[in-house]
Amino acid sequence: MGIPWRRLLVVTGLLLLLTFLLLQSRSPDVGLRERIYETLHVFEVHDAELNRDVLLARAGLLPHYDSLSEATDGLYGALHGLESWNETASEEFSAAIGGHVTDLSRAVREKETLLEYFKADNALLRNSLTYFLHTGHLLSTQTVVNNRAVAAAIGTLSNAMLRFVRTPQRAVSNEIRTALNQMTGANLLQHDLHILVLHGHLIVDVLPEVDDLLRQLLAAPTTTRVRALRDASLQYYGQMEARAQTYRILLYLVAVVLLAYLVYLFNRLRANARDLGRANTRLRREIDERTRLEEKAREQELQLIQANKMTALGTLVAGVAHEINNPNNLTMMNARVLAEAWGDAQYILENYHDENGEFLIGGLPYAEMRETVPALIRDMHVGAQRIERIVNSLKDFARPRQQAVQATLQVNEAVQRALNLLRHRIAKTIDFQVELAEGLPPLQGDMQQIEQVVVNLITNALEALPEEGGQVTVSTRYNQDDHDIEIDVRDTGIGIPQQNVERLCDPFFTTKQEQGGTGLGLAITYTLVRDHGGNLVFESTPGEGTRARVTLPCPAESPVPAPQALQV
Amino acid sequence: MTVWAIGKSVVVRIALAVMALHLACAGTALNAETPLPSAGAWDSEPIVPIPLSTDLDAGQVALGEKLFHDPRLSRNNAFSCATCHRLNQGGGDGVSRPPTLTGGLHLRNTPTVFNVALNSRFHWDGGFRTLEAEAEAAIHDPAIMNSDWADVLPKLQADADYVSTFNTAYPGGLTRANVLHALASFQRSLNTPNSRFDQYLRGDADALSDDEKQGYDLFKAFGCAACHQGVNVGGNMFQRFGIFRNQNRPHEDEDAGRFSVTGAERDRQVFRVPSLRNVAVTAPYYHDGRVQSLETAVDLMATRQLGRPLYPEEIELIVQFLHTLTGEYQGQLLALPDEDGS
Repeated sequence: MGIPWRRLLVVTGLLLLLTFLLLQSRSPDVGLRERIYETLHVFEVHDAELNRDVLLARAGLLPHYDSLSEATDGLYGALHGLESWNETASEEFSAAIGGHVTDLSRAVREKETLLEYFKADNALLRNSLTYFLHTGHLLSTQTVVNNRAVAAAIGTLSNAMLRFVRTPQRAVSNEIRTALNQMTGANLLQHDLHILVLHGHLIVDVLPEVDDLLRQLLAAPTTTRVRALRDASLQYYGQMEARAQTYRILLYLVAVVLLAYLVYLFNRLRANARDLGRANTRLRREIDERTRLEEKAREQELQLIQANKMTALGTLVAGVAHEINNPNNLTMMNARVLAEAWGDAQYILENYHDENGEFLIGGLPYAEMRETVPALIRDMHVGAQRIERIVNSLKDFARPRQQAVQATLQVNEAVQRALNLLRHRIAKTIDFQVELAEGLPPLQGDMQQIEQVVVNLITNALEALPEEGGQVTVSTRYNQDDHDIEIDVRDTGIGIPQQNVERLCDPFFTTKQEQGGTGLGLAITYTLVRDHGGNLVFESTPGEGTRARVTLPCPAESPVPAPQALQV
Repeated sequence: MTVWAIGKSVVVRIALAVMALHLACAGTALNAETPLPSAGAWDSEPIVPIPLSTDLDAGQVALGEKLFHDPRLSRNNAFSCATCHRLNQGGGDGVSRPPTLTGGLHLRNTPTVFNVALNSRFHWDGGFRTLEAEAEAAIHDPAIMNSDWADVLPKLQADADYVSTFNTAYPGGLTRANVLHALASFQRSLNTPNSRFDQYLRGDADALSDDEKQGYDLFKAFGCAACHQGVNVGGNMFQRFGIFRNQNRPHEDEDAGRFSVTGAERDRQVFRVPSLRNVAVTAPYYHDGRVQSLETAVDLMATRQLGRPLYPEEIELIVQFLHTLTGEYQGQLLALPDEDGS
């Protein structure tokens, strides 16, 4: 019982391993990956929009900052999505991606700070530029009348400012500063001129700052961070996929192992089944053999019982026969004497009758008894004779065995003698066949007894035939298998009912009570056959006929002939 | 001209880059289509009209309105959002600095709640990016609501009407997030479209008088529109308060502004540029409500921020223009209550 358990454990273990590998070999959450990539893409688009609008704003082509706010909101929206996924995702995911999300978040906040600075400074710059260009022109025209030098200074300043705005260079800015300082020093007469100087300073201060902020904004690490995040994500999902692939290969290998093991078990099972079948066949053959031997033993036992019964009956009958025979002889003798006595007494009785008339004798009128008594005496005689015949038969049946003559004899000869005895009884209307095999081995036994056996069987066969026609066959043959001789007597008579076949050889069993059968003929026949170590078997089909088969064993040393049928 | 020349060449390069970008992501459906700003940028206006409608959930807005007026959001059930943000007071409270719970005065002026969703940042210092975060901070602020969710939520949940209304309006029912969302939804509904100026922007040339149009031109020419721009005429950027300082009046003791949020030195005395929508009905002005009249406010702005003193006529024209920015809420033009009304 231990071995099946172990196999079961192996198979269960392999199945559990398969399940584990199946779970491990699933691809990572593709939906999340797609959402991340899409979010990163959205982020990049908003970032690009932001950069574009910052440049437009710097160029004075962006009418208002709402689009910058929208782009920033877009960046925060994408970032918020990434952060929430990072919080809800697995630890592995957070470990691989989390740092990059934090980096990106920081980059966004830094960029937003820069953006706010840029917006504020850019507004100041635009305002000052507008004012400077407008008022500068106004002052240069107004002051020409009053102060030619100031007008020239403003012209120079405007020229330098234009160059600076086109290309902000340090040399130009220094040039402007110098000019502005000279104006401050020149005892500012007009309030407008003072403001012009303030705005000029502001432009020179703020413009490089705005450009610096612009450069910082465009160089902000958001793009790098997004790329790093995407790479990390790619790497993470690549690793996950590679791991899943490894597990898939393992899954395949384990499945192959499991299959191989199952095939191995299946083959073993088939071999076992084959062995089992073979053993089964052998067992069945042995059982058949044993059954056959048992049947044979039972048959032999039955025969033994039958033989014992016969022997017991024989002994009984011998005693009874003797006891019956003596009183019977007395009866027969006395009946004869009585008959003679009645004959002699009749004259006297006649005369007495004639003289004295009717009288009673034995309670009956003489005239009646005169006729009846002789018949009574005859009946008594016949009855006694019948008893005698039966007793004689019983004597035959119970004849002591040692009286049998043991001589070498030919079965065919015994059959011929029986046929001679019965010739007159065989009617011409009967189809009588004799088939005697040639070269039969001789037997040890009593010729007369064998002859009687054959006579009895033929007589039975003849009696079974219908009034007209019918067929009786007598045949002998040598049976090589059992080394014995078979004498068959077959008829096409009325047959025997199955229940009677078994009792045929029982003493006093007869179906011919009316015809005067004693029921001893076949019993004696059977006894004779048994005395010779043989057997008598009947086979019969009611309405078709009967076959009686006598088997007589040949002596061991007798030669084995070639079997030949001879038609006589 | 030189500036434009540089700008144009840059724009061409950017346009090419943007086209390439759009081609690259042609397969992806982006929710927000963001077309390139008009190529004729010098003709486009710095101010954009307010959308005439919003696509908000009416049930959530109604719920938010109820919450907005509900004093149970404060710890002692004394203050609601509407205590300071009065819808009949231009969305503010009409005072320079409102009193705090603790008896003092708030640091800054109450900004109007109208068009609040059109701002990119909230509070004068821009401390909040979303309306939800701003509302939550207000509930927790000891000087404002002085409360917390452990106090507010049970009070709301005890109200069967709230519970059923929330269950109708939100799958999740009455939760912190949904309370905040409802409040934000209501605030998003507080846009004031269809001002006369918006009508003018939409093409109705007769919506403004000649003086008002002239005031708008000055508003642009003097550089006001450099900061007060976009759909909300401000509210989408920061600026330092006092560019051109009066050297005689240092402001060391003044409000540090955005510095209190970022801690960056550059952000000292930096404030969110306020929206000028409905500016005529949202006095007093500036972050500390120091100025009561619009004329003074314009004058000070021009001097301090633009470095350009204006003539009274110019101020008058600009103020006239600013009056055209008053919009409509629920079909009614915003107005201050009568003097005898409260």
